[in-house]
Amino acid sequence: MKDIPSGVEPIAASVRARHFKAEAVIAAAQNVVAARDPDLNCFTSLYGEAALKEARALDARIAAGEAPGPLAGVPFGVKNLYDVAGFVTLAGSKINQENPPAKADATLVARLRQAGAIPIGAQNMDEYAYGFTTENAHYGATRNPHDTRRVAGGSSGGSAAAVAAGMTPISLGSDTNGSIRVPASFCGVFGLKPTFGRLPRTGTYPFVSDLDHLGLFTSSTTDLALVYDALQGPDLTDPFCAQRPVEPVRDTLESPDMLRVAILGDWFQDGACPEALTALVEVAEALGGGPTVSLPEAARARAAAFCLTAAEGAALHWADLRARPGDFDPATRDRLLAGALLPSALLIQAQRLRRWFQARAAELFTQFDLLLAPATPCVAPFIGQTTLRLGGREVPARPNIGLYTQPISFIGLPVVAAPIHTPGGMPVAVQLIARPWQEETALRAAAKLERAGVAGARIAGR
Amino acid sequence: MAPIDDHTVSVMATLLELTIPPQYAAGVAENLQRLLIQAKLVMDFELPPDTEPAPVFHA
Repeated sequence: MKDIPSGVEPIAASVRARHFKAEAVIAAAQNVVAARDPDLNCFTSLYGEAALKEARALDARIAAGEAPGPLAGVPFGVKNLYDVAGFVTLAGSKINQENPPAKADATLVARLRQAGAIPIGAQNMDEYAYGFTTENAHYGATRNPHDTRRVAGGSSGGSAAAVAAGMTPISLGSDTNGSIRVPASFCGVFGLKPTFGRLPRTGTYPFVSDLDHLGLFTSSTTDLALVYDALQGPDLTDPFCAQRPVEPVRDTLESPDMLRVAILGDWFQDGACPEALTALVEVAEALGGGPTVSLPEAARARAAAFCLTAAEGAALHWADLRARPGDFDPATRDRLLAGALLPSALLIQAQRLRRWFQARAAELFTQFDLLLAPATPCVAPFIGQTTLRLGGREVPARPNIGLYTQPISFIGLPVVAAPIHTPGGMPVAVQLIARPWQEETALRAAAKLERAGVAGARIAGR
Repeated sequence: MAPIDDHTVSVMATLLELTIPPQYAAGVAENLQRLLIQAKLVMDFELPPDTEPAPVFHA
């Protein structure tokens, strides 16, 4: 995007001021995708002329004196489990190729369009969002823009990598067990997983209804807050969506209020690689330091989320698992079939444990405003890598990448994944975890880290 | 915990009228073993009887 600004706010301001046409902005983004995506495989479909046509319509509205919205002309990508009217929602699967095109946009896509942003394509993911690496048997692996030998993380891997490669300044993703925070960590961009129930999921392909969160990736905290504000608001058609009013955060990022910070120990540091632990210490120091505390029984919380995911995912895909198991990605299929065999008492107990664990987190939040933990125990593994070395033990890679994210999404807490880059190394993110409905706290902390030069996204190849 | 084998998977699947093709049985057994290790962590934890399940149904 030569001469066209790279951030969301500057792009929108320049389009509104008619320094650039929205059509030129979208064309420039499409050119970056054309140049970089053959190597990275972030997109599974591109909207091409449809996106340009939408941009020209926006330019015409601006020329006619209409207010085009706070995100005027800003290109965005969507994880391919979001409905975009006129296109088939794949959810990373071969099976869904048989579905008709979506008749309407997902609520969040519609809200971004209403704000003036323009979708340019759908992004690669693990099949049915069940994975942490975006090594998809049907659509190929998404490659990490910082080292194309490595995975981008998942399941929203194409979305995070597209932001890290400078293809789109915004990507929409989803996070059931870590699927925003993990790829944000591996790709070195900001990710926001709001409180469970904050953003409506209407028009997105589900995975685990009581764990699915929607969220986003950007390359700065200002952009994260601005776009998050455009996404908020109740939606009666999602039964899990809290009917809360919009609580804008964009203008609160520079609040000088001090935050009481604590570092999660035990489970949340066991086995972490040196890069993750160093990042954690840097972040804690930059936020004024704080004690190391325990969130009890995090291992059991993670175990409960792990089992609920397999069982509820199996229930969702039951008919296809019975009728056409060969059409699934093998990695997804075997896990879902195993999940179908879990006993019902376990699932009830997991939901009871969830309530208990939620109460323990609430106790910590009576003393602290923000909890810190690594987002991932490691930097991005290599594509095809099957094991990780954590704390001296060799463990299977795929099930263990989400060790530190799963207990947190299990109880729906809002998190910003703040990326930390080291010279010559791969990025890794720290989770900034706030009380339920206090996204503002996590975003303010992320903005403070960004201003201090501790956290920040890095666009690969720029 | 006793290892889960293909036969065990097949018997459990039969109870659900779920046919697992033989070529998938080993992968399913491996994943079920992994899940049951996690399940034990959940089931072994004693919770107070008044701890209600978390999901809320809104009529």
